Amino acid sequence: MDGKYAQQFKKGSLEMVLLCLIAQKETYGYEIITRLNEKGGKIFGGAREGTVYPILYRMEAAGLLQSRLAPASNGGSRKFYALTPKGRQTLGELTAFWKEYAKCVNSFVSMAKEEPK
Amino acid sequence: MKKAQYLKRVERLLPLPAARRKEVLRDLEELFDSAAEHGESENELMERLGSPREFAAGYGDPSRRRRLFAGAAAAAVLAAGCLLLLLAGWLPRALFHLETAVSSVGIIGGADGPTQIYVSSSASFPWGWFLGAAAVCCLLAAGILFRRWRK
Repeated sequence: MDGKYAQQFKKGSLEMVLLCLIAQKETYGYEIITRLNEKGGKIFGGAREGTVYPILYRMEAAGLLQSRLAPASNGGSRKFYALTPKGRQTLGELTAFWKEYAKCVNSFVSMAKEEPK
Repeated sequence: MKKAQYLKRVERLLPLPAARRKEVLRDLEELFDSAAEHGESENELMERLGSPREFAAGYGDPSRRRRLFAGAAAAAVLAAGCLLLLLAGWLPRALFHLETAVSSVGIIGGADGPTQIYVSSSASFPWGWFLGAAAVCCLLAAGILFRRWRK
């Protein structure tokens, strides 16, 4: 299968997936990528910073995320992301939509599996 | 490639205004620190990030930014050109030693209110108003494009 089909699917859901990850606890960039790769397995396993970081920026600009800079143990700084109330609300709406969406698409998929009449 | 070189290349290639660029570079530095903390080497991290160009491309289209700036600059130059022509038509011909295309049009009666600038060939095209309006439009366009470039 041409990779671009999978890309389309992933593009549509990555924002929601990232919100899910950040909803669990305040986290920072490297950790987000690591957990995405761990839990994402074959699907999101190859997620790269260059893809994820711009999405984090967009979501912060849209008010879904908030960030704070904390000094890191090695002398630099570390940016922690957390959901805003608006982010939590949006995540709720997204997951609700996702369930509807999955149900609908699955009904078409099972149609394709049926014997042609 | 070494880390310092990678950071420098990304900085040059990021299609973002200065403040955002600084933010992204700080994030990149943090990534290198985190990677080291978790036992990942600089090379391994740079492999994963992709080339500086690939990494920077995730943040926007660099050619779009160039086009916005070029458009703003062109509009500003056009506005300046219109204003210059306008002035050249308004200033008394006596100040010009050489006949310019517009000064050969001249001001009827040297009046100091808004007067029509007449082209010798056509009867009454209002060059003054036209150039003024063109200058304003170009300035507006330049301003809008420049604002977008800033963002």
